[in-house]
Amino acid sequence: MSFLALDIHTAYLIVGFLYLLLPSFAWMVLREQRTLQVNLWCGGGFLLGSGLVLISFRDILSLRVFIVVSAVLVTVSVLLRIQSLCLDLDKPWRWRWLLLTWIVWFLIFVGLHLGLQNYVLRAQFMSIVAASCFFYIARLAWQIGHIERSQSAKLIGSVYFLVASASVVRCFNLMHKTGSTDLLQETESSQILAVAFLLSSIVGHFGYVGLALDRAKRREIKAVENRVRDEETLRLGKQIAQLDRQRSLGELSASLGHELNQPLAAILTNAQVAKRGLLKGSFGTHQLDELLDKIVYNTQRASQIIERIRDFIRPSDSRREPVDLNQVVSEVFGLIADEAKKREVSFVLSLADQPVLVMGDSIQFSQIVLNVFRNAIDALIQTEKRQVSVVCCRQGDRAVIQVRDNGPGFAPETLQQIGMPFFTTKPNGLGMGISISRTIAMQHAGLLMFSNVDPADGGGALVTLNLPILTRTLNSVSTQPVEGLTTSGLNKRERDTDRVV
Amino acid sequence: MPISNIPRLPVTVSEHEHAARCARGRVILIDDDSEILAAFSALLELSGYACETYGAAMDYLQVLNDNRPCFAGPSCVLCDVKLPDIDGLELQRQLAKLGDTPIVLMSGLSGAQEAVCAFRSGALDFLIKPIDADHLLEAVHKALTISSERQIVRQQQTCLAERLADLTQRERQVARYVAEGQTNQAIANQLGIALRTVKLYRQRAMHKIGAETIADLIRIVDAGNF
Repeated sequence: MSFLALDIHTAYLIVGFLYLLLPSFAWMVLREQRTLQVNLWCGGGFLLGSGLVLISFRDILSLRVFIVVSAVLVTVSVLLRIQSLCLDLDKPWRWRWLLLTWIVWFLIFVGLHLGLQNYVLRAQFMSIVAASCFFYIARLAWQIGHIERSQSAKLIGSVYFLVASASVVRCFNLMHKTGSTDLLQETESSQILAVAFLLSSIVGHFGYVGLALDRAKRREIKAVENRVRDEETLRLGKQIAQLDRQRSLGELSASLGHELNQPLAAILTNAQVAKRGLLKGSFGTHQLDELLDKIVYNTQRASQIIERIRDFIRPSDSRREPVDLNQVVSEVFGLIADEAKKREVSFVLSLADQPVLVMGDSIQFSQIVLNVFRNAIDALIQTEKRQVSVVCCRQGDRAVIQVRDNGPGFAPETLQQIGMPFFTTKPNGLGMGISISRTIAMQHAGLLMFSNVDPADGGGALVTLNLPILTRTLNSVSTQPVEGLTTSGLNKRERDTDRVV
Repeated sequence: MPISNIPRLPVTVSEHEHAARCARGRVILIDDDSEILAAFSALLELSGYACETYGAAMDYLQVLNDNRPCFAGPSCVLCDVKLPDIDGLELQRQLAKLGDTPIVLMSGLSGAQEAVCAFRSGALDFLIKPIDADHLLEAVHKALTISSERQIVRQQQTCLAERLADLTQRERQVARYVAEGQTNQAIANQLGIALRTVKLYRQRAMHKIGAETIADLIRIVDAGNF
C-alpha cells in the first residue's frame, strides 16, 4: 500500500538533497543577517540533509554503521536547531548540557543497537526522541511566532508539529508491529514521515528566511527610531543646557550690570572731562592723549565683558576643539568675580604653568565650572571667612579641575542624590545645574565627582572635574566642529570680525 | 567730636595752590576701580576741587585715624556702594559716628533697597553710574555747601563755648536763671545771696559773653547749651 508515487528511497534522497540545498540557499540569502542563530539553523539543516542522504543510500551501500552515523547526524542537527531557536528566545541551553543530553542519547542508542541488538526497541526509542525533539522545535517556533507576531515562525512551528506527529504515528506502528524497524521499508508511517520531512524542508527554510528578513526589517526600523530619539534627546539636552546658561547669567545679571557700568562710567566721565578741558582751553595734547587712551582702554574693557557674556550664552552645536582649561577657569572667574566680591568670597586660583588641553566644547566646560563656582559661593553663606580654592592641573593622562570651599561640606544625603535631575538644596533652585554639568562631563568622557574634605585637613566640599587630556599637539588636531559645520563656521567668522572691530 | 580740625598752613607754591583748591572744596573719592578714580578725579580737579582717592573704605578710615592736619575748607565723601571689605553703606554708618562729613553714594545699576538704605542713614545723594559730569558736580557742590554751612555752625559753637568757659560758677548760674526768665529777686532768693550781688554777676556775665541785650544773652546761653 503506497500513496507515494515515488520509491521510498528516492523520496528520502530527494528530501535529503532538499535539506542540503535549501539551508545552503537560505544561508546565502541571509548573508547580510548572518548571526549565530542563522548559522546554527542552516548548519543543522545541512547536517539533517546529510543524515537523510546517508539513510537513503543505506541499502545500496548496506553498511550497518551508516545507521549510527545517520542517527548521530540527525540528532546533532536537531539539537543545533533547538539551540538556534532558544537563542532567538534569549533562553539558550548551556552547551555542556546539550552535549550531555546528546551523550546520554548516544549511549542509549549504542547500547540498544550494538549491545542488545534490539532493533525494534531502538527504532521506537529513535521515534520517541525524534517526536519529542520536533515537538519541542514546534513549540519554540510557535513561541517566537507569538512574541514576534511572525506568521513565518508559526508556519515553521506547524510544519515541525507535522513531522513530530508523523514520528508519533511511526512509534505507534512500531508498537503494534505493523511498522518496520527499517525506515526504508515501504510502510505507511515511513511514507508519512517522508512527506512530513519534505514539507518541513521547504516550509522550514523559506519560512526561516522570511522570519530572518522580517527581523532585519524590524531591527532597521527600531534603529531608525532610536536614532531619531537620540537626536531628539540631544537637541532637548542642548536646549536645557542653553536655558541653564541663560538662567545662570540671569542670576548674575545684577553684578554683571555693575561690572559693565564701571567702564561705561569711566568712558563717559573721561569724555566729558576732555570736552570741558577743551572748552576751557586748559588742556594740551598730552592731557587729551591720556584721556583718549583711557577711553579706548575702558571701551575694550566693556566689550570684553560683553564678549564673555555672549560667548557663554551663544546657542551652539557642540564643538570638538582643543580647549585650555586654564583659560576656561580664568574666564569663568571673570564672569563671577563681581558676584564673589559682593558675597565676600575670596577665590584662590592656582593654574598650571602649561596649558591644560582637553578636547571638547569650551562653552560647555565653562558651564560646568560656572555651576560649580556658584554652588561653592552659595555653600559659604554661613561661613565666617569665605574662601574657594581652585586648582587646574594635569595628572598623568587626565586633566583635573578641583574646586574646594571651606564651607560645611555636603550632607550625607546630599552626596547620595547630587547630580540627579531636579535634586536641589536651594529654596528657589531648579536642580538642573549639576545634573547638566555631569551629563556634559560624561559626554566628554569625563567625570564630575563630589566629596567632602577630611575635617582634619580643614573640611569643606571638594568638587573634581576629571577629563581625558589631549596629548596630540595643536597642529595635528582638526579644529573643525564635528557637526553643524556651516552654522558654527559662520559663528566663528563673525566672532573673528568682531574682534578686529 | 569733629576730626581733622587742626589747620595746616601752606608753605611751598604747590601747597599754596593745593590750599586754594581745598578752600574751594576737598572731595574724598572711594572706589575699587582705578579707572573710575582716575576719571572722576580728573573731572573734579578740572573743576578746581582738591581730590583724594582711595581704593578701599578701609584705607580712608586709616587716614582719618591718623588725624593728619589738612588745609581748611569744606569736604565731602563720594563713595561707591559696592566695595570690598567695608561697603559704602557701612562706611556711611561709621562716618556718621565720627563726624558730620556729608556723603554722596554712587552705584552701578543699584537696587532700590540700597538707595533706600543710603538715604535713611543720611546720604545726601545717590548717583547711578554712569554719571553725567553735570550731575556729579552738582551733587558735589551741594555736599560741599552743606559741609561749609556745618563748619560755620561748628565754628560759632566753638567760639561761644570759649566765651562761656570764661564765666565763673556763680556768673554761669545767674546767666542761666536769667535766660530761663526769672527775676533778679527770685534768683537772689533761690541762691540765697543779696539782690545787689545778683545784679553784679549778671552785668559781668553779659559783658564776658559779649551780650548787649537780654535777648542776646538768652540766644547765646541756648546755643552754648550749658
